[in-house]
Amino acid sequence: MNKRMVLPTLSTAAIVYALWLALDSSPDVFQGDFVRIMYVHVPSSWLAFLAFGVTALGSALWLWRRTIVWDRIAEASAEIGVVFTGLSILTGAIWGEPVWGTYWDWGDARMASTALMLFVYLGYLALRRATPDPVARAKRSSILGLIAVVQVPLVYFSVSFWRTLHQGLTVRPDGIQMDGSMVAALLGGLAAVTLLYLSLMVERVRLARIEDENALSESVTAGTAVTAPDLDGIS
Amino acid sequence: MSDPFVLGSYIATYGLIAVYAISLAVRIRRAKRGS
Repeated sequence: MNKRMVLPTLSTAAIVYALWLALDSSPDVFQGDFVRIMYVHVPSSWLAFLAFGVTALGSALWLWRRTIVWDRIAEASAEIGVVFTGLSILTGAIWGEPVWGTYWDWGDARMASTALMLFVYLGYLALRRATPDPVARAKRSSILGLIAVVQVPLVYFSVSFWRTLHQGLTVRPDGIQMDGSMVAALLGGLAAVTLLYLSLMVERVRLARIEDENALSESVTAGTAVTAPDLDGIS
Repeated sequence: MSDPFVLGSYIATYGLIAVYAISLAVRIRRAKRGS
């Protein structure tokens, strides 16, 4: 098998297995089959947190080492994080209507803070697009990437800080109060999306590298007609 | 799973992931052509 196909194949197989675990799990005493929405909602939220954490790590490493690969990793991870934050909001809303009786409530701390996190990371991606110089772009977005990550623990613990509509933490120091088949479906979903994240990251970072190479060759071709980007610090 | 809310959530999740993966492949192909 082509080496580049290993991760996509593994993540596809993991998604199919996670889907089977979700279908095979017990319905909830109170929620019935609606609990199955949690097996896509919780992994989406987890992946958004992981992706924004990696963006912060890439940002910190770019500021420290000034190596462009860390900037590419930060950018790629933020874009994937935005996709999965959107999915988390969407699946949460679909679950909310039959269980809570509403798709959305701005008064809920978890929903409002997640929406805010989505807007901030959309701003991060917009900032990158608005800054043509690669060094200035990496510097500004790294600073924002480090500031924005503060929202991750804020969103996660918002259900403990403010008791609003959203239920409290499921994973607590005293353990998980769930049926074994539900835990398996949840863990299967988490493992599948983590593999999917790695697979998407490889391709997204590859795209960033090709785009950087294109920008560099265009500036060389243009000669003195345009101002060449300042590539100091990029290795 | 036959419930429209449950079915809708799975279609939305895997549908959006598929759209993103395909768009990524198209962007890579276009970028490679542009190099």
